[in-house]
Amino acid sequence: MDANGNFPIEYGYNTDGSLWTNFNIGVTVGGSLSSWQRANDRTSNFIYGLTNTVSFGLVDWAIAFDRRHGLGEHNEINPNSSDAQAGAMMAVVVPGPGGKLGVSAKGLKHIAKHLSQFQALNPRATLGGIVRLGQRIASNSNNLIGTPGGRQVFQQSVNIGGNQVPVRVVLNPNGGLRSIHIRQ
Amino acid sequence: MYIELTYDEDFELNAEEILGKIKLSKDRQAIEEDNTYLDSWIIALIEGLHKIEGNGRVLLDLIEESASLEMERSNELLVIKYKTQKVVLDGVEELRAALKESAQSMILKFRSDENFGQNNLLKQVSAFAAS
Repeated sequence: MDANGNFPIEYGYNTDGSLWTNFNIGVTVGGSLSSWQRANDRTSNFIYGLTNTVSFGLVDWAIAFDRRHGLGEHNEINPNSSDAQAGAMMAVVVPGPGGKLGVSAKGLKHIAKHLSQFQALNPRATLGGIVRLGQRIASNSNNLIGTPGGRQVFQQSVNIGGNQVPVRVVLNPNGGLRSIHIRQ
Repeated sequence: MYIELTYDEDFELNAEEILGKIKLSKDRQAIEEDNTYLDSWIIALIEGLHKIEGNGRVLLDLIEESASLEMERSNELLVIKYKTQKVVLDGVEELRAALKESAQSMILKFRSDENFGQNNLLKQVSAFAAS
């Protein structure tokens, strides 16, 4: 964190067009420090095109990696700047206040795979909205249907785009969101 | 039959969330799923291996995926179906051998990971690999 309380994030593109990032973030939550850092990371294509913001309790951000800056450029962005509102997101596993469930970057990537299921029923569905729906479903213990292998599996019938469908939410043993999808 | 596990290179490997691509293949047939939890798949296949021995057909919940995995015994053959894909094996033992090999490779990959003991699925995979 810099003197202004911002998290500097550097990113650029490798010669093969893949994205690299370099950042070091510390977040104080409930008195404990949760840090997450990646250096010279090759960030996946999955982040391109996502335009949602997501709230994770005290951690609420969406960080942009945008190809408009051009291949080969080396950029620095600040999550608080307007630059940071455009595209992809990074997530931190931090349970928020009131038991709000966190999601890791891996969990978010998997959940994004199922977004198209929801958008097929409601084209306005967003990843942020699906995460919040998952948080709500998993916050109700009446929805718990099992704990296979330490995972917590919740399921609830939800109206999406006028259709009543079973939505399943899976949590990791540590309580982080692992999957949110519509059961077939 | 060959079970190919490709770990997601976008993230550092850790035993807590084992994301990647799985491919079950034989001859020209294949079942593939990307951006999926590989330990969950191995556990579902192990569960299927145990259940199919006493049944003609079993449906297996992949927990994190919307579709189920299906196994069906037909004469001496074992058919595995997922979504629109399928693989036909010569029998249960062919699945057992391929599964054991992939379970062992997964354990080799993660046995020194500090989170290994926190992942109950991985512990079950380990027990199967050692059986």
